[in-house]
Amino acid sequence: MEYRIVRSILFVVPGREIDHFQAETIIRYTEGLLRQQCFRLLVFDLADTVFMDSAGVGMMIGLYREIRAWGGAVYIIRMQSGVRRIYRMAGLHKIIPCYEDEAQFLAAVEGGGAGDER
Amino acid sequence: MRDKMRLTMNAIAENEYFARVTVAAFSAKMDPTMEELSDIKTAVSEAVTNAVVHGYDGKGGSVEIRAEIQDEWLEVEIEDEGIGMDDVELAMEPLYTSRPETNHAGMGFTFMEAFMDELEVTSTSGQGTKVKMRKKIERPAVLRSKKRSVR
Repeated sequence: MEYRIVRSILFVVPGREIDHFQAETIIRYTEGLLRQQCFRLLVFDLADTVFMDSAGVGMMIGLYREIRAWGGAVYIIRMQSGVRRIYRMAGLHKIIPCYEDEAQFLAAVEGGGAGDER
Repeated sequence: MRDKMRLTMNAIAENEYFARVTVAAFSAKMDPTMEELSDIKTAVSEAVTNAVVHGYDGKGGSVEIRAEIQDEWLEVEIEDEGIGMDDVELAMEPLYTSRPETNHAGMGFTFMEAFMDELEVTSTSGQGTKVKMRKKIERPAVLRSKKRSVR
């Protein structure tokens, strides 16, 4: 698991597999960071993630609820095909938009096409 | 082709990874597609996580995993001796979670059902839970019928 912060956007890189064990750790750290700095944009960079089960879905929904409390939003970039199936099946696409890469995501956010800031 | 394996391990979160890759490696001799391998890993991960989180409430215990190959069928049984469930049918409802306050999606059984061809869950309150799943691995893939039974 890695984090990077670019222009006040929190990028979370979960690693290869998001299961219950990994999800617990990611939730703990990410919640801490979110509460400390009240990020308005949280992005999961799933470039290296090849496995995700329902615990990963729960993790994303949980963090979505957290950041929504102050009007923030969650996004995914660089999602691989294995994870995409789960994303679709769980209906995550309804609350967490997915972008091809960071450039596309930034263009959308800066162009006002994304984000939920009123 | 016939083969079988049996694995007993501690019901701890760290072992969820071990469980799913072991069953996936065992099934590799059936020559599954990448997608089928991913299906198996997900279903096993869900069942083992249930044992760790719900069966034993994170306090640990023992999980037994049995897998068997019978020609084109893979059968996986995951059994714990945890608290069991009063109402299996309710637990299997999509989005149902016994702990809504936590980060649980309530999709564990839904994924097991979606990714395997057959799912059978047997549980006795106070005695444990057994999840039995079957998946047909064949080529070319044909439309698969789904069966589900709850006892």
